[in-house]
Amino acid sequence: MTRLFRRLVLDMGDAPDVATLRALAGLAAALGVDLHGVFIEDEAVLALAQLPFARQYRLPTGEWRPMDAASVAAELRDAAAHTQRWMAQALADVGIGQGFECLRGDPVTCMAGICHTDSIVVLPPPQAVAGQARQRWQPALEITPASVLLLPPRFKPRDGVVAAVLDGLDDPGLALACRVAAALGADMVLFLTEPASAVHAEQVARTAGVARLVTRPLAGVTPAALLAALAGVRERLLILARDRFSGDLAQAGALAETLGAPVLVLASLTAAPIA
Amino acid sequence: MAEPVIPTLTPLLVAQLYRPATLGDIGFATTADLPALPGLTDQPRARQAISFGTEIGQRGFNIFAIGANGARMQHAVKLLLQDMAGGRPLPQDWVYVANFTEQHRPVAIALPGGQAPTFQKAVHTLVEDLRLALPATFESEDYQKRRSGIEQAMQAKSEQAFAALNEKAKAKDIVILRTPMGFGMAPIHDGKVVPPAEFNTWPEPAQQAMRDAIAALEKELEETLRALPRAENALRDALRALDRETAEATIGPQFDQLTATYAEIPAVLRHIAAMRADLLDNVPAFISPEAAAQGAMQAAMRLAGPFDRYEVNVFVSQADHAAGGPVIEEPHPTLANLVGRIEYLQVQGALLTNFRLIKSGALHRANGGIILLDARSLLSEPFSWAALKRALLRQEVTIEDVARFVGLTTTVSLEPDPIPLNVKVVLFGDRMLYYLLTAIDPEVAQHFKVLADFDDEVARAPESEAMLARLIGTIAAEEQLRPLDRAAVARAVEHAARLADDANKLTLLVEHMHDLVAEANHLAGRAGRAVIIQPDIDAAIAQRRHRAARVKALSQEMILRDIALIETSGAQVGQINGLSVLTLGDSSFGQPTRITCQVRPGAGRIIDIEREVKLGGPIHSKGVLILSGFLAGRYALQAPMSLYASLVFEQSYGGVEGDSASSAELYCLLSALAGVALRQDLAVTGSVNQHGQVQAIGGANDKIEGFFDICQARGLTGNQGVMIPAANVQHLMLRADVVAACAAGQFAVYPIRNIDEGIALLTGMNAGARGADGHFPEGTLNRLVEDRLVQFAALRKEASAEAKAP
Repeated sequence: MTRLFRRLVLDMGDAPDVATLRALAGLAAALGVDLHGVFIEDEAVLALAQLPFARQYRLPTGEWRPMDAASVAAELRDAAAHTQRWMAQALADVGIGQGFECLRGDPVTCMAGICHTDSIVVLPPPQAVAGQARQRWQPALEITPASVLLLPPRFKPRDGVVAAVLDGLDDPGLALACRVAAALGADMVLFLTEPASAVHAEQVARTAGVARLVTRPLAGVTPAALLAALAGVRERLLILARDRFSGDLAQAGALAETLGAPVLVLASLTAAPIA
Repeated sequence: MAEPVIPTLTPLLVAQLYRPATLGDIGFATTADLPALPGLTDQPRARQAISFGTEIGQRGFNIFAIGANGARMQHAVKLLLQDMAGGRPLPQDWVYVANFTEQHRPVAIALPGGQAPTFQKAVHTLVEDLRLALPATFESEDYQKRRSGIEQAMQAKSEQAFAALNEKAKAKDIVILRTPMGFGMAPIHDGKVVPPAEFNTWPEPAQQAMRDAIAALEKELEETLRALPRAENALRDALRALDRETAEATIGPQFDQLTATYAEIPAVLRHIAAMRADLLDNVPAFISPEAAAQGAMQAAMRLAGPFDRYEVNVFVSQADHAAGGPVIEEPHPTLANLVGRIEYLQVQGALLTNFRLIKSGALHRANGGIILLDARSLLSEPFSWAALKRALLRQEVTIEDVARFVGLTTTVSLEPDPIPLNVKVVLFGDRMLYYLLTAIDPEVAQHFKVLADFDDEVARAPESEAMLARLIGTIAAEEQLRPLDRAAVARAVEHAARLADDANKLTLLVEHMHDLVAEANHLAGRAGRAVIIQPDIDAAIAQRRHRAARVKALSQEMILRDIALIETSGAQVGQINGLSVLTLGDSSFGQPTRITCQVRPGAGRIIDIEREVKLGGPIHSKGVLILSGFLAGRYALQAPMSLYASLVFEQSYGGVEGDSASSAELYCLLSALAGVALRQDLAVTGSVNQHGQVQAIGGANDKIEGFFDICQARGLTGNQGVMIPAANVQHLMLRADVVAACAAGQFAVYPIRNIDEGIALLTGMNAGARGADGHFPEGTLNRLVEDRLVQFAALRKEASAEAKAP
């Protein structure tokens, strides 16, 4: 089968917990992709450390301490190494491909540089302190061609259907959605923007091995319309086509929070096979 | 004056040697026709004691039942008590539940009898429902929405604070950066941090202004960050309140229902309320299995899942019992079996436990009823006797861990609530054990005020024979043995009299009758009979005797081969056949023993050689000393005795006890003094008092048969026999071959009342009565004895004078 994506990209600076990491690994397995951790050494922090009056408020102890470039560089290196080890340990028994990359530079540029069409960027929910981390490169998502996986708070695997809002005709996302549903052993609910494509969709689902496919028409692809359509459905994953979703990523994130399930917003896809 | 003719002592009639059974008026062909006999047979004293002991409610009136081994007391009493138990109220059930405040002290709760399993099931159902409902509730859209709302609201506040600070900083061309360990602030220009080289080119006031601005913002950042923990606490409190409210909405109806069901039992209501509160306090553990797993090493409550702490341990229940109080037998009364135990599981090298691993003991199961214990077994188990007394004293059962007694500590231990005890204890033991125990332990009298003394025998009468016939039939029926015909029953009843060693008694040691019937049944089976007949009983008796007869056979062989010298014909001076009984295990047999006597002048001592070498027991020595009293009373009224006599049991190298040979010893002594020979074709048994009266002894049947067997083996002469005390005639239940020999005139048993009668039979001479002149008549044995003593006195006087002469 043609693979649309190569990897899930996760900013490890957002400090996910083990449960979330392992749940992501499960999703990566269903998507048929690797899990790729990224640690960004913000060049701005290194630049700050060079200023003579630079100091940092250390959270563990709640005190201000002067910064120096060498120490900060060392701390960043140590943090990267620790994060890589931690990730490997947490996923030691999970049978998926893993990668880890340490980048130095502007977070937006770094993320933009690695998020291609073959990548799905994981966007965790905002956290009070670490939300600062997300904010630093979130603008990258607006300019990259990557697809985005928005996680709900306290993300963990659960039973439910794979819900998708797609065009039933020649939509690579449909094949992906069916593949995920089959891999998870889940039923599928397909909201078709083109009702006439239901037959084709059923065929694709059958071929992929989906247990059960239910197709429903959808009036509009606004967040409110989606919530209304999904009322009473217990979904474990919602897949949206970005160019058909009338909301932005923030609204998609709000959807994930409300549904309690991750939302995969697919960028424009090509069916080009990945090596 | 002519000496009166020696009265001829007549031997006992055949009818006096064996008393056949009549079985009363009951008519039956086989024991299958007889009605069964309930447990306690013909034990009026014991029955009354047990009835009294079980009826009286006061503390300390427990029962100590004593009797001989083989009485089957426990079995009989158990049947009696089970009959009586029906009228008692059903005892309470007991459960153990978790103590949520002191985890090492599980709580005991009493419920009406039979209801504990229902309560356990109700709680289990509630727990199972909550196990599914709670996670589902917390995954519901409604909860998620509300939780998200709270988190978002809190989040928004923090973000607002950060956003405002960011804006402020931006306005001053300052950026807030996330550093590896926290946060820092830097000046920016065109969206990038100003490098040091560039910053140093700024005018000094500009640099200072920037430093001041950063310092001011750092203060604000610090305040914002310091507020975070408060915000997080507020978030946690809000979420906790939401969780409690959500959980309460789910669990409330079910708990309300359970509360209504047990509204009449305050202890249960308290527990339900505690359960509810604990559940609400620990909601995250039930909706997050990972969180529960991380808490797994609070292992006392979490050996299994988090919901298991709410389960109920049914400790004792009457649910499966019939109405009435329990009657519990504990055949192996170890401490744990008696007072319960706490089990442990090994988890990663540590021994852990919880309230669900508390197991009940026999005292718990008997609570409200009766417990039957064997005293010897109880005393043989370490700590059990003391634990029982403690429980009776405190009127509660505390589960005691033996490991703590002996200093083996465990990592987690429990102190469960003791359970109030209201039980009647019936201890069973033999008499010796009871008397020893009461002598050395004063607490026996405190706790066991009712003695149930089981008779070993019952007076033989038609009614008691009929009772025994029914008992035999009951044994056969209960053990699924063949029925016995009337003749077999009669023979068994006669054997019961032999076992009692008394023609006028029947043994009540049921075990012996059971063994007899079982063995006869086996023989009947081998012969292909459907009914046990008399020959089967005879054969069973004979075979049992034969199995135990190895030592007897060896003893007889030694006599027959003249290794042990015993004469069974002729006459000898100063020599007589005494009779003794040897008891080995549960069998005994009689055998003749030669007793000899030597006399000479002396200081009046009768030497018992057995006593001198410490082979004679005190009773035997007493018997010999009585001889001195007899001699002195009959022959030494005018002057001290100048006699030295020595008596011995020839070829006896083991201990000798009892005074049943004292009459034989006296005959032997008189024979030696008088120089008159004693018949060796007679054996003698009987104790004698100082007046010469022959007194009853034990084992008359065995002794007669022992001498008979020797005579028979050598060939009966027709003159042989045994002299027994007249008082022992009522005890005779001799073997059929002995009776047959007596009937044929080949053997005889003589009843003897006093020494003079015995002298006449053994010597053919009159003993003689002292005349008005103070002398015994010429030609009598007493005269010969007295003359000899006078002679000894003269010789002694002469010797004494010679010794004093210069």
